This record gives sequence, structure tokens and C-alpha cells, in this order.
Amino acid sequence: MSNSSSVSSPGVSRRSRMPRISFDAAFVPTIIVILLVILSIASPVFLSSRNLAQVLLQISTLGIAAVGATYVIISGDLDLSIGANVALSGVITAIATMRWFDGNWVLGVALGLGCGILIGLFNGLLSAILRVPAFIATLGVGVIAGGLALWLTNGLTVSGLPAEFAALATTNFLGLQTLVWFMLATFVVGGVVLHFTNHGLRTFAVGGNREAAFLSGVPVARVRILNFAIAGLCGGLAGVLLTARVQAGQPGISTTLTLYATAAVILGGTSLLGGQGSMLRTFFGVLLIGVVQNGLDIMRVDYALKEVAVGTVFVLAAASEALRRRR
Amino acid sequence: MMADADALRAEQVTKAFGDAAALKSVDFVCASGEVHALLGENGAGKSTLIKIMTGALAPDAGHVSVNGVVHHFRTPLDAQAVGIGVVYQDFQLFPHLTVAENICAVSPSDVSRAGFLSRRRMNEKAAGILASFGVEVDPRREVRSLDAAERKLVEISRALQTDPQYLFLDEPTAALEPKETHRLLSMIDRLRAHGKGVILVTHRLQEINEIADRATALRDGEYAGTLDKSTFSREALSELVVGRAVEQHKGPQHSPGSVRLRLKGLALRADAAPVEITVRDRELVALIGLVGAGVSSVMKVAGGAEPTPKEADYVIDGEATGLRSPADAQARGIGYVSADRKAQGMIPLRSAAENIAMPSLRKLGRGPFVHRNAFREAANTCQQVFDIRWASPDQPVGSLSGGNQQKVMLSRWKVRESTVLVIQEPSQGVDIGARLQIHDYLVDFAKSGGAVLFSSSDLDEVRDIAHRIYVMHAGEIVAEFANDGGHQVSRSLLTQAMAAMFDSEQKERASDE
Ligand SMILES: Nc1ncnc2c1ncn2[C@@H]1O[C@H](COP(=O)(O)OP(=O)(O)O)[C@@H](O)[C@H]1O
Ligand SMILES: [Mg+2]
Repeated sequence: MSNSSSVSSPGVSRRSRMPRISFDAAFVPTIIVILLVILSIASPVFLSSRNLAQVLLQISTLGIAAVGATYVIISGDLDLSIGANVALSGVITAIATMRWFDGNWVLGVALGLGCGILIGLFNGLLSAILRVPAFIATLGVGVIAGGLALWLTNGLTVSGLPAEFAALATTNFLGLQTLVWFMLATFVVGGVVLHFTNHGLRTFAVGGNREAAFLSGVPVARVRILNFAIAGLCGGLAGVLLTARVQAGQPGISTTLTLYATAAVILGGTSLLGGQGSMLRTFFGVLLIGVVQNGLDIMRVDYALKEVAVGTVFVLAAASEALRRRR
Repeated sequence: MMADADALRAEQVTKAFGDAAALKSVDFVCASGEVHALLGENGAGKSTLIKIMTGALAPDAGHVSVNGVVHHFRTPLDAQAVGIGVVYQDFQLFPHLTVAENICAVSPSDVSRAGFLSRRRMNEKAAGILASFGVEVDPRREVRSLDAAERKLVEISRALQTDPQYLFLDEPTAALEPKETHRLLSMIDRLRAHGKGVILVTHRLQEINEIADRATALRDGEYAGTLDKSTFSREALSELVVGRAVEQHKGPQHSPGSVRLRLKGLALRADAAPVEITVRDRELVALIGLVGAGVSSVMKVAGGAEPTPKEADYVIDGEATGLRSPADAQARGIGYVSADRKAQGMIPLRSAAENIAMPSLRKLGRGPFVHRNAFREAANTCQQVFDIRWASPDQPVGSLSGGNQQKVMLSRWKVRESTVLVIQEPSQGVDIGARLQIHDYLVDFAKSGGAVLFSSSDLDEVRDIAHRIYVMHAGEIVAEFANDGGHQVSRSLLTQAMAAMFDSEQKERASDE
């Protein structure tokens, strides 16, 4: 992988220009470890296996969404429709299961995932073919999807889903709920595709220099569309699993999810400019958010203050990252 | 050594980065009133020496003296204060600010009143400075709207506003076209006439011949020697830089085969005759012309960087299908190298091996999976062929020197097994040694059956390796020369052709106004 760039170079390279990736990569994990130490001193509950499982559970939806966001961001785009995608896919899953397929949740899940992919494809077509800037295209698609979710449900939650469907996300396996396992699997598959396939390498190429990638024969539009579709699929999966977990399709869920997913990717150290980053980094970014939120929960910090604290962590982490890189 | 009063010297300057020595006890002298060329391959230490002599870097040992007085600069301002100006190799202007703002940023207090900048004064001051150096650029324009030459001239004007006695110019002509280079050289000439010492870094021997009084070369961080104007020759200068006698190509030595590419009916302008060019197997064809003549448009179409226009007729291997995309061109055996490596060639943060493999992922991969060992193997083969200098094929390509980057670009098509190369400016930003190696490769490539179409603003390069030369002007082909062995196409003939176009262009411009 690209992480091997810190080779010692007898006078051939200009080392100073290149970020020392190995050091960067250790940054967020270090912060996480420090937080773990502080929190475990502050509260004995924190390091209990039950609480750690809780941390993973809390970040599951975010993590799945962030895997998709990683692809889009590395290829130099942005997806602001993630949260709305999760909402609409979840709602569609619930409605399809309850009203259209008479309790057949497998079909509901298929439709929910399909909805996610479709949203991704729309984003891709608008950005890569019609050349609408991804920022505005995905924002627009997100507003549409969010609106559809509300309209389909009249703003109410769809409940009464079958228990087997709930089991999809909540079954306990080796001490963790299946939702967590889904997230971990998404990270693994997402990481393998990103770092070990031609598509993954092309993603880095497209984000690193779109023009050069095109001239070297990379099908740039196809790569971008595929990445939006991957992000859409991840959004759909997150929506489906969230619906299963809370046993209801919620049209209004998580307007902040989009921003948190993007923030997790960037916090991990993946460049917003594209062409640089890794799936492991995104995992640590997500984990950092999870640890901070959980720590605040345990210390019973007031909701509004919690937001302030999470925001502060974002800012501090990003600033220290930027500062260190400059050196 | 004579302690001449009017000279800028570096004495026994040594500098290491980590454990890599960049300069080893280097001496360098530039007298006022001389243009002194500073030569050396990429990585030889030229830029490092300049940074030390201008206060941007501190030497590990040795010192700099100005007119006999030893100085220890701590910042570039210290050097500026004793009459040293510099234009560094990398672009140093603020692209989103205007020319005037960029120029006045050096000492903003001159153009402000009570702490507020006066835009009017700023523009006036900048206009005055530009005019005094004969630079015709509107100070109100944003820098990013300027072309490469205008930017360089603005950078130089900015450096000159403090009226330095010595001026360093680090590869100012690397990105310039011949006409723009000409403008720059005449500016340097004027500075010399005013008694200033100019230190010029360039890889183009032609420019050294034209303007320099002396030339000093660095080799692997060491002083390699100095030549005087009277002893300048292509051979002597190359040998000074490379460190051994070098064989320049002297025109084509083998004969071409049958027609491989025929591009017909390519209309670049409504009022110009459509372009028609052919390239044979085993042939190197050059396409030359001034900026705006249409050379790069033809190259892009020929290389597949732009789809073949409907009205044009592009026959490749007897098939008149044209090209739809770069991927299409590659499938037909054509490899394209852009003139703008930074914007259109490299993916700078990815490794050299990945950059080389990029067009050949399907061939080198295992199904949908990348096969990094195959990438490295391919890269190592290319490293042997081109003599690429890198720490390892995993090094990011953006951190290689210009010559090595260009070799990586060519390696792509070697790995892709392309049989046609369409190359813009094969030796742009490439040092003398690498330039020769690239020429060797291209000639061998043609000899073994390949077809090469290249554009170049370096007439020596054209004359050294091309079989045939097309000259373009105002969107059409105005001349075609054969360069069959020997030196039938003399340098002066080409220069005349270019000069004629230059004149007619100036007339055109004059009549436009
Ligand atoms: N800031 C730096 N850090 C580490 N190595 C450097 C740095 N600047 C230059 N070098 C190394 O010093 C050597 C000389 O570089 P440079 O002066 O830029 O050469 P030139 O300008 O002749 O091409 C090269 O090997 C280069 O890699
Ligand atoms: Mg240099």
C-alpha cells in the first residue's frame, strides 16, 4: 500500500515534500488510546466489556455509512445525501415489508438496499456525467430523498415489523450484536476492495489527478459512479440495519449522520481533496467519535454540552492534524 | 584566488539533508556584469546552492561573501539587504492576487497610508516596476490568468524591485516556449548591461550558448568545473555536466517502414487548411510551431487525449475508425505523453510502480485484484531500461526529479507494449543526461519497429532525432522537411522557419491593434 513511502532515500527523493504517512497513521489511534486511559480512570465502568460492546454498537450505523463515504471522498467527490439515504432506505424497507410484501422482510431488505444503490447512481450520474459539482448534486438528491421519506410515512414511524427482521441486527454472536458484525464486515470488505483491487487503485488515481488518470486510460466517470453507488449501497445497508434494530422505519433519523460520516473520514486523516487515505483510517475516525460520545454518556454530560464537546474534539483533532502536517 | 571586489561567492559550502550530502565543499563565483550559467543534472545541488546563497537555507559549513565581505544570512531578507535577488524554481506568486498585489507584497508599507493599502498607488508602483524592465503585463490582472512566461517575468520583476546587484534565476525557462524564452533572455541581457550579475540555471545548452559568459557545473553535490564562453560547445558543456564524453544523436540513422498513422482533414481553424500528417513504422516525426500554432491540438488528437473530430479522418494501421478516448487509443497501441506532467501526467502521491502500471492494470492484475509484485517487477524492468533513479519503485512519483518522472511516463507505455508513441516535449524539465537517455530510448524504440510522433520547442532535439519535421503555423502545416541522416536540415534552416513565423505573427498582432 501507499504506506510504504517512508523508505530511506539516499539523495534521490525530496522527503520534505511528502507527508510522513506512517506517523500520520498513528495519530488518531494514539488519541484514542489516551482517551481510553483517561476515561477508564474517570469511570470504572468504561473499560467493561459491556460498555465497549456498547461503543461498537453505537458507531455501527455511522461506520457503515463512513465506509461508503471513504470511497467517494478518495475519488475526489463528496456525498451529502448519506443521512437522507439511510432514512429513505430504512423507511422503504419498513413500508415494503409491512404494506407491500405482507410481512416478507427479505423482499423489504432487497428493496431498501436497491433504494440505496439507486440514490448512489443518481448522485453519480449527476456528478460524473452531467458534471454537476458533487457537493450540490448530492445535497439536492439528499433533500429529495429526505422529503420522500417524510412523504411516504406522513412523518410517522412505521412500526410492527416482524421479529425475525429485528433479529437480523440484534442477534448476539460472540458477545456482539450482529449489527456490529455487519459493520466490521463492511469495513473489511470495503478495505479489501479499496486497497487490493484495480477499482480501488483507480479510485486513488481519479482522486489524485483526474486528468492524468483519464489520460492513462482510467474510465474516470465509471469509477466515480461506481463509488457513489458503493456509498449508496452502504447507506442502504445502514438504513436497513438501523430499521431492524429499532424495529421501525423512522423518516426523520439522523440529519447529522451525513456530517458525522464525512467528519469521521476526514478525522481519520483521509484528505478531503481526494487521492489519499485508507479504510483503516476511517475506522479509527469512527472509533474516535464513538469513544468520545460514549465517554460523555457515561459521565452523564448534558445533551447540549455533549454536542459542544463532540464539536470541540472535531476541531482539535483536525487542527492538530493540520499543524503536524505543516511541519 | 583573486579577491575581486565585485563578486558574489560561495566558499567551501557544504550541506547535508539527514545523511544525504547535497553539497560538498562547493566554490562558486559570479562577478557583477556577467551571466553565469549554473548547470548540473537533477539533484546535483543547484537549487540547494541557490537557497544557501540567498539565505533560504543555512550551510552546514562554508560561507557566502558579497563583494569581499563574509555574510551569514539567517533569512532571505538578510540576503536581500546586501543586494541579492532570487526567483526560485517553484512558483512563488499568489495566484488569486493581482500582479500589483504580488509585487507590492514585498514591501507593502510603500503603498499604504495610515495602515490602509491604496490600490491606486499599488497599481502605479507595480506598473512603474514592470515598465522599467520592459514587461508588458497589466498590474490589475490576477496572476492565475497569466501565461507561464508572464508569470516568470512578474516574478523576476518582483525580485528586481529591490534593485539587487546579483540575481539568481532557478530554471526560469523550463516551462517556457522558445518565443517566451527569447523575451526572458533579452531581459537578462539588459540586466547584464546594467552591470548586474545573473546566475541562470537551465538544462538547455542552446540558451547557455546564447547568453552565458561562463558556465559552472555541479555533479552529485560537487563542483565539477567552469567553462568560459570561448570554450562553449554542445559536447564540452554536456561532458561538463554528465562527467563523461557523450554521444549526441546526429540525425536519424535508420530508414522508416510503411505508413502507420495517417491523420487527415483535421480543421483547427475555419480559415486554415486542414492538417494532414503521416507517421511510419520505424519513424520519428517531429511537429514544431509557436504557441497557438495548433501543435498541441494535433498532438492531442493523434494521441487520443481528445476524441477524433467527426470531420477528421484518422487511419491507424489501415483502419479509419478514429479514436474515442485515451483508453481506446491505448487499445490500438498508442501511448500518449502530455507536455504538462504535473497536471496531466502523474498521480503524484501514488508510487512510481503504480503510476507505471496504471494503463496496464488488467494485464498485470489478477482478475479484479491488483498484483503489487507484478507492478514492482514491471517497474524494475523499466528502471533498468531507462536508468531511473529512485529509492524504490514504491516511492511517490511526485518526489522524483523531472527527468525520472518523464522516464516513468515513458515506462507506462513500455509496460503497456504500445507500438506508437505520441509525446509532447519529450525532454521538458529534463536534465542533459536524462535527455540523452530518453533520446536513446526513442531511437531504439523506432529502430525496433515503433512509430514516434513528438512535438518539441527544442530545435536541437528535433534535429538530433527526427526523420521528418512538420512545421505548423496558425492552425495549419506550413512546411515539411526531411532530416535524412547527416545534417541536411541545419539548425539555421529551422530557426529561419520559426523566425519567419514569429515575424508574421508579430505583424498580425500589430495589424490587429
Ligand atoms: N529539503 C530537502 N530535504 C531533503 N533533501 C533535499 C531537500 N532539498 C534537496 N534535497 C536533496 O538534495 C539534493 C540536491 O537537490 P537540489 O539542490 O534540488 O538539486 P537540483 O536543483 O540541482 O536539481 C537532491 O538529492 C535532493 O533530493
Ligand atoms: Mg533544482
